[in-house]
Amino acid sequence: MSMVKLVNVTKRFGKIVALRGINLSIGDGEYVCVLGPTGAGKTTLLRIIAGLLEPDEGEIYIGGKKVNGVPPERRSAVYMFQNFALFPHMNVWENVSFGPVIKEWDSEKIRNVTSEVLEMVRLGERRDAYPNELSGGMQQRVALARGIAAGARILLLDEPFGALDARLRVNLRTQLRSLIKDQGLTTIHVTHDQEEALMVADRVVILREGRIEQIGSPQEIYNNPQSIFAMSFVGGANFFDGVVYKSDSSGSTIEIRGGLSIRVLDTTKKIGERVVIAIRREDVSLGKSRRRGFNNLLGEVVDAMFVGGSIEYVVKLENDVSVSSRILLEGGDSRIFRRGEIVIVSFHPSECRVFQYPERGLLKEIEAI
Amino acid sequence: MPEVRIVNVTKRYGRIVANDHINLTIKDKEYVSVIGPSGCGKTTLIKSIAGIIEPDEGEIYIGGKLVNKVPIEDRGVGYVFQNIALFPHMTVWDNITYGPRVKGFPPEETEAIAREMIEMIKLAARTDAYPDELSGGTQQKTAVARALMTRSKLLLLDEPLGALDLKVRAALRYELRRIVKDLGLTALHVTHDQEEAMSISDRVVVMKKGRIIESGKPIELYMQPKNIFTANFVGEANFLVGVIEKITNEGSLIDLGDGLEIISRNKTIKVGNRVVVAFRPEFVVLGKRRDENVLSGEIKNIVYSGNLVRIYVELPDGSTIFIKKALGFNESLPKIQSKVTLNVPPENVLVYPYPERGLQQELSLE
Repeated sequence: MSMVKLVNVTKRFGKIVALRGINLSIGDGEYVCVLGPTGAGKTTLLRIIAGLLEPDEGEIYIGGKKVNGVPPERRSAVYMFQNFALFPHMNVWENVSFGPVIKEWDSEKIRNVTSEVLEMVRLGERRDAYPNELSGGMQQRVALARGIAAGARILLLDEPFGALDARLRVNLRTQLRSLIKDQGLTTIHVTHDQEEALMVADRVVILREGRIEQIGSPQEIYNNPQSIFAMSFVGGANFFDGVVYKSDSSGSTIEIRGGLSIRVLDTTKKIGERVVIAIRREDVSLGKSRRRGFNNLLGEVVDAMFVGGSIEYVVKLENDVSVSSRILLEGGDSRIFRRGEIVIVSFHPSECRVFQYPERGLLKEIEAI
Repeated sequence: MPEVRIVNVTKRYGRIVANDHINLTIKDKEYVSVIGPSGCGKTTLIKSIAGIIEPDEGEIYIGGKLVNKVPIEDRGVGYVFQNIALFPHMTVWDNITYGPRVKGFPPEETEAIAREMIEMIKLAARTDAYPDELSGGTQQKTAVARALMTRSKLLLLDEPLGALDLKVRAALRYELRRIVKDLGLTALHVTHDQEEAMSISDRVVVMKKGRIIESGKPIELYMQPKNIFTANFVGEANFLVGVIEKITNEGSLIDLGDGLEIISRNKTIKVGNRVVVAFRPEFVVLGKRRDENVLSGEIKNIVYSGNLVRIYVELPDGSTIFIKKALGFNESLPKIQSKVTLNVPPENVLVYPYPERGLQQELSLE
């Protein structure tokens, strides 16, 4: 049974359509990440599920019951937390027992639930501490404990690691996921950090301009992007504008700028059709010799940037087109190329995705800044 | 020649020492980033250089001149911070030329500098736009152009990309570096994003609890960090505890307990000492490539994150290490619960004296 279900949900703010006909069904205990650029409608989606906003059209179901018009405090299974939002003047115990106290449970039940939940998040010993005495990670665990103590079955997380140090985020997200999974909670987690989404989610939803662009497991999203936007937004890639000039049963040959041709396995496009070829940066290798069965292009290394464990190269090809390659320093002994070095850029035809040339132009689909 | 020299700078807030006798020299045209956990004092440091905060002790020199008592507007620095602070009712052009205009500088000169900056920062197409018509990235580029209108050769960047989307941030960091290098500027950049610091800078400074604990080229800090905290802070790593068993021509042999041993090329710590061994997950090879440092274990978990996978392997002594691996063409992964052999290159095994306050304390990021 689905725990959260949205049917044809549309939300407008004046002339701006924040959500357009969203259909989404989230299973009990599922961890879903919603990913998208600023303005895609991610926070609006969460706020609608929480009951902080009402949709203009469409229905929302929680646990099989329609909740349109039901105020947030009566959607008691739902708990939204953002920036920890602890009460600064209350200690850990008071923060966590806040929900049960408001609900006027009897005092023994409040005590039991609060201490049980605090043990769960490993903060039993810090029950007397005030939020400002705790680290960011601990504050987050208190916020989670408060939600669980209040009876939450559904957690809505809006950029829960937004304000934290990048390195710390990596540690906390796996901790948070296992805590949540241990409790069997259903989670909808909004983030703009694609690595975070791919690491913690059972399923990823990519939102763009108020619509669902793609939905799938992290592997599906990464390995089978359904659009140029999805591929560019999650993971990024090299994109080349080209025209199909040969096609047979084993693949197609596409000519890109400067007369270079690229072999691909795709056979779905017609000769003469304008297309976009996309190749993930990590699928592009650099070397001194040609690789059999691969596309091999000659170029010059124009930039080499060390990005912690990987090197990102930019290679300028003969046709003046730049190709990016990301090489993980596996085994610690990978060959490092220097600026100005002449290299052969290789990638396999099966790693080239071919998309229809977009109506609005390629740049519109991939631009970042 | 805006070399920046910070000599013994200390700043206290009540009992908290935000900057504790900081000494740092930023060379002319150098791009230096400062990283560290929140509260380490990196923001206090950049604000002291900008002149927003006055240190309690120590001296700050910009281009050889002592600037401790010099007000912010006379320090000749360009300062860009996280909250994009453009005037909403002014166009890009008016925002950029605002400072020189109110100071009554000759309009021809102002226009010439503005045109140069706009060209350099690639804003020419947007000079008539208002801030709310621009993306966050373009707004921040406008802020950089505005900061450079004083023809300042020193650019202070205080979390300049902090408010932007990840993808925009990644694209803009290369733009920032290009602008700084093309204009021959000296830059100091404070960030909470290690990867940003590593990819953009000539040198990275790591701070912790008000002190500089290490600085170096990004690749040096990553490959050969001098202390455990840095090893953990600039990237993920595996940490194991052991004792130096013997020292041979090949390096140090470290006893990890329960019959596990590992060799490091580092020979600086004496036999019998308790040590922490660290190695990066991507340097571990799955399979047996050479005879040294062959470990075996069982795969407990595989976590996928797009272009790479993390494989968690339990060693015979019950400890878990993890491996990062890129999936090559047509490559498949072993399954969970399968037995695997691992190879850790001895060149990449880092060794540190066991920290007095304990390993967990040393690894704490908060």
